[in-house]
Amino acid sequence: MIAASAQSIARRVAARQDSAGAVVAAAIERARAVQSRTNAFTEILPEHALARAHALDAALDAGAAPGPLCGVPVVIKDNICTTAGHTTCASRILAGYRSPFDATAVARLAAAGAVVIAKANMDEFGMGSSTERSAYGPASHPTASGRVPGGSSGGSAIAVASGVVPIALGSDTGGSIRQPAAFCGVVGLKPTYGRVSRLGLVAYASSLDQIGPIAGSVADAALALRVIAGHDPADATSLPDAAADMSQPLGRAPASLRVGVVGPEATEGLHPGVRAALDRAAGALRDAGAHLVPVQMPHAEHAIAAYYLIATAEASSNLARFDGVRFGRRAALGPLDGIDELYTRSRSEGFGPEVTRRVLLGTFALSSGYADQYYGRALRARRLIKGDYDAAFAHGCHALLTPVTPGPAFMIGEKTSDPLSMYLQDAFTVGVNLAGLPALSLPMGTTPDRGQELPVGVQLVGPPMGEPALLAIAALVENAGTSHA
Amino acid sequence: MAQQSDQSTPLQLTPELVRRVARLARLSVPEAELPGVAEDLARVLHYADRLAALDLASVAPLATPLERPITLRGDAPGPVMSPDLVLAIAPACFEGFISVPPVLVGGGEGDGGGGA
Repeated sequence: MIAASAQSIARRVAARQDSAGAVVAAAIERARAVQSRTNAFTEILPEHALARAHALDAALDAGAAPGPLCGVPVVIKDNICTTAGHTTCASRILAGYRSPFDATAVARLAAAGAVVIAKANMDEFGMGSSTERSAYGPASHPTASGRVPGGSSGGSAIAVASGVVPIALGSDTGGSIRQPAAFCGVVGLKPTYGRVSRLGLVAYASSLDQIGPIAGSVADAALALRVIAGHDPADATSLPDAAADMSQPLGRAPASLRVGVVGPEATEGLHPGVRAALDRAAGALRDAGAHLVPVQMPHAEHAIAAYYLIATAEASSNLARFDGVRFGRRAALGPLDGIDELYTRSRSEGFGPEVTRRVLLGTFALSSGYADQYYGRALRARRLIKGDYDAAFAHGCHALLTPVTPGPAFMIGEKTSDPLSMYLQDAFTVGVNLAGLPALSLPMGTTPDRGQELPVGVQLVGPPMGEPALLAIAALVENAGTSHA
Repeated sequence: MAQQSDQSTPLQLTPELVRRVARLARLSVPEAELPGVAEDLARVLHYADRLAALDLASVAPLATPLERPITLRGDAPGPVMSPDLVLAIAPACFEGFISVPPVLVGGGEGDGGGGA
């Protein structure tokens, strides 16, 4: 069940056909019901949200101009800073932490009239693909009992798929928006690196992280991106023209549309339901007049290896800030303990096992004697992987059509004992982050799997700053999952 | 790190090596968990060794996907957080300062603050 669209909510609130207060109160009620089934939220914020909604209603009644998300309830992943409630990254080390500022993306949503109603559960610091690695406990798939919702932005995807809100913010370092969107049957958009400010996104891997929307429709994802995109002088990696081509909610698909598809060798071992979803999407694109062209991605098979070395290396550096001194959890010490014990005990007690594993892996990959062999080699491979995408787009492709995941949502606990098997789930998504590209996960119907009917998605990847065309192409085939099923 | 890797042989990720990496990361791994952690890391690193099959001799590293140089904002003072705000999120404070235990163990006379 998807909530009413953000566009229709904003239109009705602006026209005073609905009050923001009533819309937000209903969303909070749904959030509470969904929380009891799925553990999608780290915190629901009724007092903040209702106060904000009533203030919006009062402003509108007094003649204030409505923003494009006027009265729209939204959910924010818990690694994105909000002054409302806590920001914990689903980690014990940030238990109780309150951010003194709003992330730029959150401030932009608020300026557009959106109302934050909850923080979303996630894998700790974004390190996971299932939302099982959370200090708040695992989250559950919104419709399939015993399955994961995907991750790390699992709570955000559940919130949209369960009809709590039409738009939620997630973050995507290696697929953390697109994969849970695919598992839960909603739209997930990872923007071009630099399109959305990272100020206030707690850093996991700074050269890969990007905030983006999860939404119930392509149009709502476009609307959310239009609001949150834009240059931010406080983020040195924010592109100067980050908002330049985002003025229209949805552009028109390019004429003589060319969509690249990878050869069958790249999709060996796919779940049959994912393969069928790709076929449905390809058929719908053809029906819409697109020319499908084969593309070669000869280095794609190295993406996981490069990604997990680079991401963990950056994480080992970024997470050094969690030392028990300035913020977050501080371990109890004995009278003879010094600063080193403070660091080590605070971190060891505060980080969960997967974060610990990745920090160790990254520290090793950067350590003297191994850095060239691991981190340096991964950075060189990254250039080759990006080169594959560059070549595909240089040959005239407007977008690439690929799987999001090898299969649909897996069972809770199915992959937690084998880190490598969990990492391999990200094979189709991490290359996009290494190359800094925009990519969108689009629902494409459902598939049976071990007695349950599960959503599947497909991925559309665009060239840098290619979101307008990407969204327009996605809108062309948005209904293919149901109409061709 | 003193121990060098030999690229022609698979990495032997011993519990001792994991202990040394953990020390670098300021993490403590319980002794009983060291072999399991070493095995997990070794599996991932073994998988990553497939990058050795690539000819990377003439390929420059790519540390960021940004194709343009980053632009720094003007070097002008902006709003700063108030001391009260900073102290409110600190785990332990003493008379307007964030407190920490002695940096030189056995040397200083700091208030500690470790029990906060």
